[in-house]
Amino acid sequence: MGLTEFPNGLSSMGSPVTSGTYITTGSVFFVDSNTGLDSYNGKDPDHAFATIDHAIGHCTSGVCDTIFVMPNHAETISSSTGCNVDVDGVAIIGLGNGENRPTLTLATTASAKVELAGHSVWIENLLLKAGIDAVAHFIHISGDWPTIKNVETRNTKSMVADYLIMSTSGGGRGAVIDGLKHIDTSDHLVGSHLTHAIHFESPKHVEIKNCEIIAHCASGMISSSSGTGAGYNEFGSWIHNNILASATTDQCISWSSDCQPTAITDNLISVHGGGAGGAMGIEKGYLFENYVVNVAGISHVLSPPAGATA
Amino acid sequence: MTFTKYPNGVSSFGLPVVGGKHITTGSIFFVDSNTGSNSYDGKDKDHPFSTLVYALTKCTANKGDIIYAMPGHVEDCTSDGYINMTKDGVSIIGIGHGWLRPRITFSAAAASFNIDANDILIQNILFNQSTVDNLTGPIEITGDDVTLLNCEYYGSSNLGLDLAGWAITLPDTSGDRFTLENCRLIVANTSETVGGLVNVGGGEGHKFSNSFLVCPQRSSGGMIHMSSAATEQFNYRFENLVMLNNSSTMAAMIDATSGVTSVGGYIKNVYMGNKDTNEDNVFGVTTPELQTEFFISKLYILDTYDAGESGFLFGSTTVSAT
Repeated sequence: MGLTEFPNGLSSMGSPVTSGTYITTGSVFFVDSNTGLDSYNGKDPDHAFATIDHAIGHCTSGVCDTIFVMPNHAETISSSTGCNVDVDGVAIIGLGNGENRPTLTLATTASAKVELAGHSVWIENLLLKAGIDAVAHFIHISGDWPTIKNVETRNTKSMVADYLIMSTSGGGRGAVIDGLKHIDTSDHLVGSHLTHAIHFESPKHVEIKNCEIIAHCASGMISSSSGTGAGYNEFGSWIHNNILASATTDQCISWSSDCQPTAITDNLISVHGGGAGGAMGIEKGYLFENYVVNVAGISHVLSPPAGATA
Repeated sequence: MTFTKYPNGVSSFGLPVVGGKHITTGSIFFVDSNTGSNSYDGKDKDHPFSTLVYALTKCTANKGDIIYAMPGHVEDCTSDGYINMTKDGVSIIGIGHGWLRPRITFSAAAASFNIDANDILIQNILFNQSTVDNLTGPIEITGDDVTLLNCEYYGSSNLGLDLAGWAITLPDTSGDRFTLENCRLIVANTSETVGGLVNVGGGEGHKFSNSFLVCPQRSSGGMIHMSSAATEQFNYRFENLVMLNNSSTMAAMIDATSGVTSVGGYIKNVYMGNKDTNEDNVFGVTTPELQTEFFISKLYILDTYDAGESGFLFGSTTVSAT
């Protein structure tokens, strides 16, 4: 006897039942560029929408609707508003592994990006590619409480991007960046390919964890700066368990004094030459168990030394 | 074409089926302050109750009942014990993320969410101080085996309010085995004073793990303070914590009323950072007598945030000159 099939999906007590551990009481939509049409209702994989932006337009604010993006979905983002997650609470979750993950390619203009404008939005398991050499942001955060989980970004061979992820003043409170992966696709020793990997202006209670970044950053790989509204609220961030490898002598973690105190723990950092002490530029932060290396052939060492005086 | 709907729910092998990973043979109720009504039966997400207070009256003790609080639900505690969980074995599970997690607010100084029952799970709930200064004890727990999982206490919307007492209070009458797991507690900004995060007045076998604890201006006592009337507290465990404080006058991150001794238990892989004090006061060597059969593994302490040094192993010979 086979499985009892519910091809249109099953709801129990009003909650959509999906496989996996995900739970929502909001609506569920599917997106697939290969089989979908924006004229469909998007409510099952066989009648998926064609674009994420169209699916976002069908979501209701504040109820945590979920958009499942099907394996092999491919979408080109060709403007600054081409993928604007501007509905509060929306979750966009990619299905698939490796190159089968839903892929968004930033093209045509440097301002093309994924914009997280709504508050409490969530994106997961997406592959973002640069389709042109000049990209300003892969992801720009202007809303509060976003989650970016297991997203990978890939550059072109000669890409010069400003940021993988950037939050400007007034956005990004409570942000969680978990598992961002960026492995430079070219010789990262030649030329700067990024200004910053992750940058927050006036970060408030941000958590950046489990990221793996190998890149050539012109400035701090993970960084913050003071912005409008900086002050007492800029504290309580936690940067931990990241693997950061830079092809420059510039700091891998650079955190502003207006953002104090911040905890920086359990990071593994490699810089290319320069002093190991330059691997981090932390003006007001509690540092625990960060290991740094600045030359090949030796192991990472605790940096700065324990118990040293500033 | 829409879902195949089973508004009364589906059971498989006798177990109610819902999304997510929770499994129960008990009843399931939904709560939503935005769309709900206490005249509904609360049995599906389109007919939720409007308050947790009411939903709790519909639960049966010791059956594994689950209340799902829906995204954007907000419930304001206006008095001491306004929400009081008195039935054993009930779970409240929040659905949603970010600021849309179900939110319990406190709008009077004495307002509180009380857990008197045993075997309670509170998951993915955001506690928020709302608009009132100087809360005296917003979360009070006296039951055995109460777990706060994936929850957050986030002071006020801009963290601009004082907290007179502790965010979580386990009074002298507290039960045993309280668990704080994978939570984040940030109670105020660096200009506000706070009492502390957890005041442990009683009970045995509590565990605090995998959590990020920030208490910017605790002026005295400890971030986690053991104030038991008893002279011994047993088998407390602290594991995988980051604890930050900015007050130079705080006694210690984990401390105890003089004369209280912790017997058994451990601290494992805990980072404690506090500025402008001395290293003894970060953890507390003299006042808290946490030494009887109490083992410490990978406790790191740091007494400055000026980033010129890393935290050092407690008990090591390398100490700060500050």
